[in-house]
Amino acid sequence: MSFYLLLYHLSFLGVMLLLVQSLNLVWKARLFSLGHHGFFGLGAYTAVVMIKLALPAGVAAWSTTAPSQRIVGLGLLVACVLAGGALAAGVAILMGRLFAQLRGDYFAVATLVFAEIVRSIAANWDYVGGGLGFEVPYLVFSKAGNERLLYGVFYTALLLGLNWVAFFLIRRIEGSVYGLYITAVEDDPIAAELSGINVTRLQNLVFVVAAMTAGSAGALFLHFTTLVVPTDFSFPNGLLVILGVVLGGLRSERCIIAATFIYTSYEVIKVRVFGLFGFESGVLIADWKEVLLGLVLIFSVTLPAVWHRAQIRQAGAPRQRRPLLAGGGRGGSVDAE
Amino acid sequence: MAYLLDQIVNGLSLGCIYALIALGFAMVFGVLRFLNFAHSEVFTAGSFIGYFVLHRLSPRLGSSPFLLVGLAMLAAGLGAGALAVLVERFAYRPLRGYSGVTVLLSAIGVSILLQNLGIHALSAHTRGYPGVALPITPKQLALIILVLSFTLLFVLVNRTPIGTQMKAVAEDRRTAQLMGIDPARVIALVFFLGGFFAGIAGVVWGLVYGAIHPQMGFYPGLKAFIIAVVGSIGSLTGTFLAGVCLGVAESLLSAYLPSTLSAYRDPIVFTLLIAALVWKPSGILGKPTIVKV
Amino acid sequence: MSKSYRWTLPLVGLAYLAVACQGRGTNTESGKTLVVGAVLSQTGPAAAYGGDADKGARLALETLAAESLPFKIRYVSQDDKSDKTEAAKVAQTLIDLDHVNVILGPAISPSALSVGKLAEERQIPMVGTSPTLDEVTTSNTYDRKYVFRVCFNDSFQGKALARFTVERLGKKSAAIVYDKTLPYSIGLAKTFREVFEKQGGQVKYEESYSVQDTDYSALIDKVADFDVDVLFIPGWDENVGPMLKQAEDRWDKFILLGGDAWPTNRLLDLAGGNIRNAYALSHFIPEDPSPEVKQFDAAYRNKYGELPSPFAALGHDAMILIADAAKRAASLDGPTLRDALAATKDLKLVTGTLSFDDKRNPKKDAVILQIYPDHFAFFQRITP
Repeated sequence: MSFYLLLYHLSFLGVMLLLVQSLNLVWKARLFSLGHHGFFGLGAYTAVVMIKLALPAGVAAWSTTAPSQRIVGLGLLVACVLAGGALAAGVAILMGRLFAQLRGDYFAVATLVFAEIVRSIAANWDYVGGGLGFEVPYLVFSKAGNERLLYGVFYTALLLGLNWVAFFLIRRIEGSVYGLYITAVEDDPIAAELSGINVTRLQNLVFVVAAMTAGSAGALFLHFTTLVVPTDFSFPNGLLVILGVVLGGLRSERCIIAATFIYTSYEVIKVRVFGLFGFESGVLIADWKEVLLGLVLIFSVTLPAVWHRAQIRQAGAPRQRRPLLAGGGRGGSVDAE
Repeated sequence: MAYLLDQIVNGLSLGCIYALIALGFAMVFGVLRFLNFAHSEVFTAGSFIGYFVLHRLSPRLGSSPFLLVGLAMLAAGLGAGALAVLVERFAYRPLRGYSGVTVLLSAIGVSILLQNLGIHALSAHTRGYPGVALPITPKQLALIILVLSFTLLFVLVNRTPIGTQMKAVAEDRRTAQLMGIDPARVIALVFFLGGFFAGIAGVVWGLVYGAIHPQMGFYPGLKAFIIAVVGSIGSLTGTFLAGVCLGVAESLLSAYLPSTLSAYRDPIVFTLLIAALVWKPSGILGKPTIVKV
Repeated sequence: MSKSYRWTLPLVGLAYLAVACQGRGTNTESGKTLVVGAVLSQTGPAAAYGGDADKGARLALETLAAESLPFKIRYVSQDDKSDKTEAAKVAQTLIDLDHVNVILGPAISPSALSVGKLAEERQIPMVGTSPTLDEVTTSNTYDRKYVFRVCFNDSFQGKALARFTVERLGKKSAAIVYDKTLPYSIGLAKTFREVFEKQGGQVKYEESYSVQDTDYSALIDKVADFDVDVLFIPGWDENVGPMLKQAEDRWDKFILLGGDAWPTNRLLDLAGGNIRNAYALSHFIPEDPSPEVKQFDAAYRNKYGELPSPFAALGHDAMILIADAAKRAASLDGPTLRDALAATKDLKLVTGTLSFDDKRNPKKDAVILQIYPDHFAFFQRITP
């Protein structure tokens, strides 16, 4: 079995989870952002710019053989991550100001367009490699020979560790006053506003924190894969993040993790499963992953609604906790049928 | 000077296509208050229907190009409209009453589904659109089609009973229902009309640019959607104006940006659109409403 | 969920993933089976290049099956979706799970860069079918000893085209319309310009577009005013086709010139017949009278019912090359196979006779095709 490949997949999962967890928080606060992957891209490219500035002699001039180089590399890595997060946070603050007046669906599309702008600029700016993306040297560890495992362990530990920290922090937040505020906003933002909660400020705060997480994840992703291309944060990939949130519902972290895990590992699992039935992978050029994705998105939203409505129709059925994303608030149509 | 005029004309025809697609977004939003993301795929579907019709009928009707193109557009419009109604029935109607974002998610799902079904059925590569020997250029055709469509729609919405019904449902669905209007039918009609015009736009696009592929709808759709917003949802005139402005702006940017910046045309256009959104959240002709939160 | 259940889900997930990372097939005795993993763009904008290469490679497998080789060949083909990151992921899976001995492909340069990097690190030889970017095998900062290709590179292409324009066409003024977002296009434009100017020609104008463009009106109008003889457009057929169609008759005064990405049926389809007075460089043309080409052409048409494209021929040649090297190699592990590949001399392939230079680029011929509205015709052969 390839232990390295396992670590590789776990690391990808780690990056995805960071994104999904942060977006989940944003959506709970009723900011239905569709452009979260834009912050991811911002973070990654901030790291790119930092590497370019830190290594004026060109990236090939770097090597990680000497231990002192490794320490410097580690420092550089930390700096990139922090810078990525900081820039993303800054942009998020700006966006919060600009988009304050936008209603739910307008805000959603504005964020979507924002992510497109980030991708466009990254794809056309020659300084960071343009459409071909940018390749950074291996900081800290490299993939040569035996170091490969160490490399895998390092990044897996780093990413999963960060996720654990994020998970832990989210738990703490939920238990605190802010958690109450967010739940209040999630349930009914108008009522929350009337109760004295400054909804806008809370939303901005959550948005900025989430953006910071996404930005840091982006920088880490860059250094983990040592190669970033603008298509990494194009809309279809951004949709994968959204899918994780939607499938997990806004409540259960476990569901989010499960959902994220499934589609991150989809490629590998698919090959194995089909291999069991004797299909060579070459036969499956036409991957049905995206079709499934579309269907899952549709059903994950319509089925709960249909089920909920069926429940209501049943006379006397106790109305349970409002299903996810139910009407009202920052979204428009308030009349239920 | 001639170059400038040429570019403006280019922009106008591009804007016409955007405006045709934007019609669908605008109407659906006017009635249902949500953004039909899958509209781009309806546009693509129309384009492909036109492609196949043209291929089939070209040998037989080559001598009467207007008839050929007319038939292709009709088929495309009907097919796209039917698709739009189907989508509404299965992906949006169950979600009636839920917030706009919920339905938006479903719409995104439909969009992905249709795009990728297209790729599987038709293979992702670009195809050349059959040329039709028209006495007028495809760009002029675009202009004519747009004027015809808008006139048709205007008459339909403002001078017919069904149009009044549409406006009623758009304004207040509950009351319209109380007045005896069946909102389900009206909404289905709205979707059909939007799809119809998007389908026609698809054929025009194919004729003007000569190349189509299953994912072609994304960028035009995104721009058309933003036009609908900026043109202030529900207002046909606003959409028309915004569409034409965007087309001309895009064209002029393409023509006059220095070559170092020319690749940034799309981000610039998008930034302008965001600026428009921010500046006038209710659209350029809309009234400011107090709908925050 | 109660506390005891908290860990079941993550553990199950982890176990599942671990199983998924299980290798497939035993390839420990590498003397028995040569596992060839193909990373080819079968969907996406470059689908024509990769898809055809896959077809060519599979045809080669049939031919090889008829020979008695000291090993079995197992062919695993994966799609990189014309995406560089996907290509790296796919190659990673092929190496780690399928235990491939050699990688066939990719067909396009961006993917070849990322897969080449991986191949170099993991010491698995890679034979690209049509990635022509110079940097694929070597650059100022690295030398990828494990990366080979069966196609010529952009330096050669640019030089060949420039010389053709000056010597055969006798034209000395040119304009270049290149794709700003494709390094292939930028690189080819650069080489052409350098050699063209050295030969006494003059590149008077340059314009660019991007691979996602659909509306070329502004570009067409701008270029139509250039007063040059030759218009060189080193781009992908997907863009050049619509561009020529939209140009209608405004570019008729130019002689059009293209690189190896031009000769596909898609170009003719997209250009809608609006392509005349044009030439392009290619790796191969079915009408070539040499016996290898005739045989390949017949076999391909028999199997697939269509004319073989240059990219199919390259895919076929890559497979033949790999099998030939494997025959000569003492064992099938990475370094030995690599050396056998590098030592290839005068191998008769469909696209020419191949010997590698010290940068693992083949020294072989190119053909110039003349392009008519509905077909390509052989025009001239260019030797290095």
